[in-house]
Amino acid sequence: MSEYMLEIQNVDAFYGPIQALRNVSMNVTEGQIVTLIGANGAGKSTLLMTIFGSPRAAKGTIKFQGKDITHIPMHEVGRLGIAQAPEGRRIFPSMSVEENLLMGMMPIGEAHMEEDRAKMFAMFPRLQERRNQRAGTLSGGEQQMLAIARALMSRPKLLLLDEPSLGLAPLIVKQILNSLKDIAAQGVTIFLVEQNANHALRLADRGYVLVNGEIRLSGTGAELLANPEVRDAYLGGH
Amino acid sequence: MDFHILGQQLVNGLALGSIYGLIAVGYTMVYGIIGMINFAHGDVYMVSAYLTAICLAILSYFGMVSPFFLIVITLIVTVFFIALYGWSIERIAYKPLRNSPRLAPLISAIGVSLVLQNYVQVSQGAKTQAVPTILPGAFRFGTETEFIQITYIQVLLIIVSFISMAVLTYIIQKTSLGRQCRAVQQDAKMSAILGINTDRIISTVFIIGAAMAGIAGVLVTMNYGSFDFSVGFITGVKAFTAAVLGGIGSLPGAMLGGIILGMSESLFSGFVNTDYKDVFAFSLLVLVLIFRPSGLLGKPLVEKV
Repeated sequence: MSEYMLEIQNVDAFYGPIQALRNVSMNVTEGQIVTLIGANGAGKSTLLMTIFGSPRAAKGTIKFQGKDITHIPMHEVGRLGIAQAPEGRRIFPSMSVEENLLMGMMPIGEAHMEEDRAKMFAMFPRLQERRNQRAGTLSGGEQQMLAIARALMSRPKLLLLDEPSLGLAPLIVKQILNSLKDIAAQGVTIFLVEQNANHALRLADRGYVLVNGEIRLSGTGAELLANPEVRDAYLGGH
Repeated sequence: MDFHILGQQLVNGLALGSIYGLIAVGYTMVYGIIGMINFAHGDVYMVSAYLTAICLAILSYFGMVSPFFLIVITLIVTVFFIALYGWSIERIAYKPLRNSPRLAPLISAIGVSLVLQNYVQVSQGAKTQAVPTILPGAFRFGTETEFIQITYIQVLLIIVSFISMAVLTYIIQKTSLGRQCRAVQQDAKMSAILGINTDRIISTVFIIGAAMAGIAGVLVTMNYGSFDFSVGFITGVKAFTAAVLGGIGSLPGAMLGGIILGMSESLFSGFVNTDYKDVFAFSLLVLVLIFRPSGLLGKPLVEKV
């Protein structure tokens, strides 16, 4: 057994001829919030999707709880206890909020539906108000809440979040990031990808900085916040 | 205006329309889930007509005469084998092309269509086949000279079609399997992230489509009695038209499109001209597409960003 929940070692990934990830190595420790920050196009979302095998890692290994998952089929990754609220939220627009939550339960079956749905509605009351509404009619913030709630419905050990703050009003961003603290407090390990470096690093136990597909820096959240290079590039240099 | 002719043509149209609807389901669901027009679907329907004849022949050989058991057993056996056809066709001809350009599976579908037609021609002969009438008799309403006639087999055809549609709608709307089908249709990659085996769901959709075409095949064969290896083409084109008319990708659309097409064809034959009924049906399609390019119940195509 390894000490890390998720271990990414020397991973390369390509979109056709374009190399998106170069020799990326990073680890997520169980029970922590780990963040990956970087500019647009740095390869952050690619890294999250590579964990699910799309695109597949051309080189290197990805291990989850010591098990090599580099080459397993996409639909089996979720069944191991990894859930993702992906880039662009990707909720099912023609399904109701409840149906979207049900879809989140695919990896574990629908036995805990009542209990877990109540938990999600307690965390995001807005979803309860709109439970029978088509998900495509929700606002951006509500869709993001739904995407996170859907991911949590599979009772994941590891939750991958891809820019949950993107395009949302500051107040909603705060609300969503606060809910991440609650989620982490319930024992879910979180791997958070963000452009909003300030928020993310404050929240995180550990952070990595991705530049042009390569890990440039790593350290605790506080270390990175204090790092002059990070301050210049991602925090507006103040 | 002769009201008994109107009534009669409405009944005929409803029967014809439910058949178009049943077959259109296969086109619309496959299009919804992998964005491909399955040109072999009409020939799957044609194969089911032969399966019906073979099954009826075997049952009669063993001395079965009860219409009820003949119909029920033929339905079950034919649907089972045609589902197997649907599943195998997807496995052999479409699955290996899953990540190819969109044109490749289309050509492959035309290939499957040719293979099925020729395979049936070689194994069953090219001449028109016929099955005996299983359920003779009809209901008659009206006077001695002006009446509406509904044969028992037409009644059966309409009832079985509506039950099949209702069951399918229930499965798609209310069950976990149906939710998975809809999820894969809306976002296949996200469905896989959520642990859905998308290949399995695509197979399931082909099985459902073939099964519905199989039900149509059994009913039509029992209704009209004769068929040959080429019936799949024109029926397939009509059912495809029904699917497009209703909005391809939409399940209620396929049913609605089928009924509208069947009704209008049959009314046109009854009151205007039988020879030009296809012209009328396809003109209707052109008109609908001019004013509603995504079909009656289809959603306008939104370019994904």
